[in-house]
Amino acid sequence: MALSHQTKICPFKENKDLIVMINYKEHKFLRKFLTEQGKIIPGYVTGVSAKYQRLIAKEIKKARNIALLPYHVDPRNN
Amino acid sequence: MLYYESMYIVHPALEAGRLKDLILSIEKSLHSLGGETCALNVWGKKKLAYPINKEKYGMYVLFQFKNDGVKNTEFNLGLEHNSNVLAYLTTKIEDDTILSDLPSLDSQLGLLNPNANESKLTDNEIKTTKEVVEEKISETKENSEEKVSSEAPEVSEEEIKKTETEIVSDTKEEK
Repeated sequence: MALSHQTKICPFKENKDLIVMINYKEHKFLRKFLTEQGKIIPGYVTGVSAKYQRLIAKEIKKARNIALLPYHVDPRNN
Repeated sequence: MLYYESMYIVHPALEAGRLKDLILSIEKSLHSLGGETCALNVWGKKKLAYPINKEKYGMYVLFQFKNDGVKNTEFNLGLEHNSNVLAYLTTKIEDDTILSDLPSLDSQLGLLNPNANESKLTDNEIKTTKEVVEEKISETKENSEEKVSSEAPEVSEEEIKKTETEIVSDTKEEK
């Protein structure tokens, strides 16, 4: 109950230096915004504002294209 | 003329010499289209997030260049038809994100193989330094023990004398 009412602050608005890290080459940083299955975590869960969530989603899709990030991870294989 | 970068994955079975030929041939194809190279960075062999053409590993190469945007389709076709390139991605970049102070291509490629030898050497060196440190520690311990053993009897003798005199005096007072 308490969690649903907590206000989250966007990490990119708190720390402006992080905005440079939204790049497909920084795949280790972008992995924070993926679930274990490889899905993109929605902004309302991570607290990222809509503006930066759009950028993150684009860069993750680029990184997937060049095999730096997975499209899908099958938990049964691990 | 705008700035672009293309990242491509080369087949992992290519040796350093053949890899250099391939990188240079891709660079040549760009020059023939009227482009200019800005930076070349070899990331090295990395594990792919998913297998491409049944390959689990690939050599990542980052190539930043200046080109007329219309001719990028031709450049991409060249990468597409190259059988040694597993995947590629060309994106537009700003001029302030261009990498600088990179070592030459030879040293970047040369570092990939001798690096392992160097790391082994460093491991050996670390081991030797560890051994040296351990020897020093053992020597210091021995020295300290000797000092203690040499100092201890002197102190004990003095103490014994003192205690003897005290005891004697005590006994005399009692008498």
